[in-house]
Amino acid sequence: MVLETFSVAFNNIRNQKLRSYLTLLGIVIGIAAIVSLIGIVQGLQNFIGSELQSLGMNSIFVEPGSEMGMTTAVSRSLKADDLDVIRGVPGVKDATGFWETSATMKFKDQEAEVLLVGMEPDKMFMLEDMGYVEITEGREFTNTDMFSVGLYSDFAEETFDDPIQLRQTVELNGKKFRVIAISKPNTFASSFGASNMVLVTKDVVQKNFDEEDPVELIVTVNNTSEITDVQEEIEKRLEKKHGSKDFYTMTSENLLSGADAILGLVGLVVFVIAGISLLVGGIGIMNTMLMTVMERTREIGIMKAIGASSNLVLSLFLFEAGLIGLIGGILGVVIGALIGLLASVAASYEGFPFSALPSMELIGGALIFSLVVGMISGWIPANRAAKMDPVEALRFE
Amino acid sequence: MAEAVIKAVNVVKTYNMGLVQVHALSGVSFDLLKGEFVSIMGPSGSGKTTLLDVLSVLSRPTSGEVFINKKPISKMDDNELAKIRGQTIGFVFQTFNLINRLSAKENVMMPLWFQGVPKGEREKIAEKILKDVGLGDRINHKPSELSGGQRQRVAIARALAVNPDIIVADEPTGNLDSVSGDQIMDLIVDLNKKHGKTILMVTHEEDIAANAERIVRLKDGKIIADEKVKKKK
Repeated sequence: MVLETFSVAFNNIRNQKLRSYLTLLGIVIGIAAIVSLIGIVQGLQNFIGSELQSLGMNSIFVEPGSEMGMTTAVSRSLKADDLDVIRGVPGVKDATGFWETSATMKFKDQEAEVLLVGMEPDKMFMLEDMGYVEITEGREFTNTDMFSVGLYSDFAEETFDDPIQLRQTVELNGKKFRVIAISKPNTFASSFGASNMVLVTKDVVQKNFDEEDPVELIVTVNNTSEITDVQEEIEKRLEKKHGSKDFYTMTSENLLSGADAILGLVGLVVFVIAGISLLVGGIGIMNTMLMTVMERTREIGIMKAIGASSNLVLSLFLFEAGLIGLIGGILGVVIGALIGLLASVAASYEGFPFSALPSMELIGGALIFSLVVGMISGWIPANRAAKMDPVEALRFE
Repeated sequence: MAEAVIKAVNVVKTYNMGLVQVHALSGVSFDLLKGEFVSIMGPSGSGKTTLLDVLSVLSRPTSGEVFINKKPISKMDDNELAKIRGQTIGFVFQTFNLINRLSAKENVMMPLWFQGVPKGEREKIAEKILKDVGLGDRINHKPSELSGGQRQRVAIARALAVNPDIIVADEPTGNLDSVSGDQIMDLIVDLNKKHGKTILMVTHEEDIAANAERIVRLKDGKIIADEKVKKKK
């Protein structure tokens, strides 16, 4: 009986093709917006979460400047001996820094601007733990590596016409360096636009490029549960040493919650827009169903005269409205998933390998929601049909 | 005396036409006995269609009571009335009232659907009844592809689908030429004589009404005559 009601409702929709398609449009747009945008937000959330997770939840980052200004590369408020202060804080397991400078790399008569990143060879394991570096060819750096560089494989392959091989020589500001290590691509760095990073020891930056101080410090703690206390203590001691708070600290958790807050706001905006679209879509369904009920007044009268109960008439029109909603929902999910797919492809191309495809929960939720929107919109028209007086309906011209 | 399948007691039906109250029926009492063929006659505006509507539980009386197989309808809700219309009473209308986008067979199947008969069985019943009324070669035609007489046959087939005891017909020949009208009347008389259906028919034509055993005459919402038909042999 339920199946029959469904097929009768479906035939009625098919008989009013153009009008039904136009009615679907509002729901299709609303559901497509929800599915694609929530899919993208969820994909971004997962991507950022996993990237930050790989940095380790026991890490504290010390950056120059204030949290509001993105002055990492410009201001030089951190000092090399800040590391000594940090290493003295109880609960700190290890600390290291990045010494950065820009340089011109020359390889077989071609030149490219690069970002030299100097690190402490004996603390390189920290960078490996965080996934910044993973050497796949060559060897680790040592303190005596004054003319050695490490390259990310994507940089080595793509920067110049010819790929740079292990043990080949490149020039940095006129001095010759030997490639001693190749690392796998660094997705985290490249996603922030630093795809031209070249690894050297900190001594190279300090002695050859006269950059005495690090631009960023990385600290790990013994116990993740103490991370906030350690973070506060570092801030206190560094502020005392510097005489002012010309730096700020962050944990992976701070970064994650910051990203979540922004994505949450985006999600809210999406919800409002999609909600408005679905409301309009719902009103569209209601309008169409009211017209349908009007047009079929006589038919409703006939059906009631020959034994259709009010309940059956009600369910027939509710089904029809629900079905319009559901068909709109299915089309919306398909279009939303396609938009998500396009967004994923475009994002991967730009170096953010994340999936914006909707999850099964999102698809299921969207379909149920569209069905419910249809049925709620159909409630008033269906009730009007169910309550029709058979005599009046039969004589309706 | 046979028992009353439909019994009306002091039925009043009033319509509100804006400020004016129209008394379509003012105190009608009437018994339709099992197996009877009764014609309701009267000039237009006499209330005959209103009486038919009330007797066939299409509408409720403003006051008074209608009993179907001895059960008062005032105690029934709308879904129960729908059940009576779907199981006990078959309707034939002047304007056929078929659903135009459905085939003859689908129209006949419809009341069976409301009674929860499975689809396969519905198809069998519909095909058999359409054959019985002489439309065996028209079962998949839409109403627009049929003549008036054929449409009324489909409507009669639909009325018979659930095998009801009572057939209610509102001017069944009103939209037909005389030849088709006579054929439809023969069919209705057959239903009464051969199949034992109780028939209640509204008409304003004397010779059509004369097919019945009993004629009830209505004027201004009141019964003015109720007499047996003298059969011309």
